[in-house]
Amino acid sequence: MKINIYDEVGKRKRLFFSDSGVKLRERIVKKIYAEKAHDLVILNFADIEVVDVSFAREGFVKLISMLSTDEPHPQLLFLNVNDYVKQNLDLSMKEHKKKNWELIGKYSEQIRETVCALIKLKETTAKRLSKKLNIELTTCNNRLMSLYEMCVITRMQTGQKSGGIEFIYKLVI
Amino acid sequence: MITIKVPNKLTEIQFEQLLKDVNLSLTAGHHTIRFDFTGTEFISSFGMIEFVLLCEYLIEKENKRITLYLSNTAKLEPCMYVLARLGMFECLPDQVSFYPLKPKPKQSSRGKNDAILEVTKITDSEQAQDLFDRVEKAIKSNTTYNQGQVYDICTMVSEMVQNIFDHSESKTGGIIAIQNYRKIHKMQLVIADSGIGIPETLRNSKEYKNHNLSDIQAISESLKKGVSRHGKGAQRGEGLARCVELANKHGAQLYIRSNRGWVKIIFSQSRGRAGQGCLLPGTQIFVNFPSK
Repeated sequence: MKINIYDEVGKRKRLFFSDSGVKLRERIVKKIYAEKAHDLVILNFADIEVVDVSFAREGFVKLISMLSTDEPHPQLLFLNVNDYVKQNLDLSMKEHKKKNWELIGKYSEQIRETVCALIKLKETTAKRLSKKLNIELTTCNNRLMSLYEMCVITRMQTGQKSGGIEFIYKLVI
Repeated sequence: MITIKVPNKLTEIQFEQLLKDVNLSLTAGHHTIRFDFTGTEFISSFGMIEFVLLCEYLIEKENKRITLYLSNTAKLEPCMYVLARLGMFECLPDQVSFYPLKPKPKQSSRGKNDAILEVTKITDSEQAQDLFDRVEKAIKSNTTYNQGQVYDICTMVSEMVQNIFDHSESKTGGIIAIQNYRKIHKMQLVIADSGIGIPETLRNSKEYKNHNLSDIQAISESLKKGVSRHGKGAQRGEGLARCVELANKHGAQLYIRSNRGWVKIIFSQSRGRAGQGCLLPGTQIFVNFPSK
């Protein structure tokens, strides 16, 4: 599912003020619920020139907080984010390093390492990932849970041969 | 009635003296205050907005009658027409009377000069959204800033305006103005309100109610990241801190007056000052950017 922010805000290029951020968040949430989007939601920032801190907080930081409590919930991918938009988004989510993708917000080096592995694997189980990272399965499960709660990854429930429940985690870039 | 002489030049410095004179007149119990502008030649954007808010305060909270004495003759000085063009008289409360007459700008001139944003009342955030084109034009006309720097200043404007609606509790919204001073190579952006002020906002919060913050301490505290009336865990209080960062980035001068305190930071010289004056409720901020 792809949401064009520019269209959602009435073709405004500059996004200012918290109340406008609240309105956008409500529209996005409505769309996600209406389409039962549990996989990947792309927030397309094409044509958006600048976003202030208040708008970013209400529109996007709180969007993540809201969605993270839903079960299941989608992965959010911010696309076409220009430098000026990124400045204030970063500030709202606590910024970090540059690459062709970035994690923004508050996270540990272990979480970053897990994301890197997930990008390579595209989709995985906790067991497979724990082997790849050479960490305990419980530690791996904790990291995946954190990423899932932050709307960075999605998960799909499957059955194990033994009868137990297993999740397949997915990260699309 | 008491007559108070408005200084020849009225900026944030002389305004403190004017406030003292007004305060003395309040103590003396005069019912009518006449402001004598006959020797006044220059009023900065900040001075104009402070004066407008002072008149509002005197009329609404102190029940005073206000007269502006603009000329000794029936003819107005050219300076008064400049102030009229910059929107000062239009923003004064209707109860203010003028001698010999209220200077009126040509209606067609308002909003036509891209280099300035006249003293303009902001009543809601929707109306404020529409001001950004004019803010952007004024910045581009007066500075050599690139688009990114223009966005930085627009961000500052939006954060400060946001604070008016989120925290000030002002019933009349706020006021904004942008003016360029070519001789001193400065572009002044002013955003102000007549609400409860930063000190009251913080003192009313759970986190600060037992801190006994002075007005100056409250203003200084409000400039730190994460400080807001919602408390440190609320993911708020980024707006003013972001303004400080951006003012620093652009080598600007930031002046914040709230209730009785004021704080001034000159980022280009890495120095600051603070002081205490008489009460003018609300928060008034100016940022002086280096201009071409």
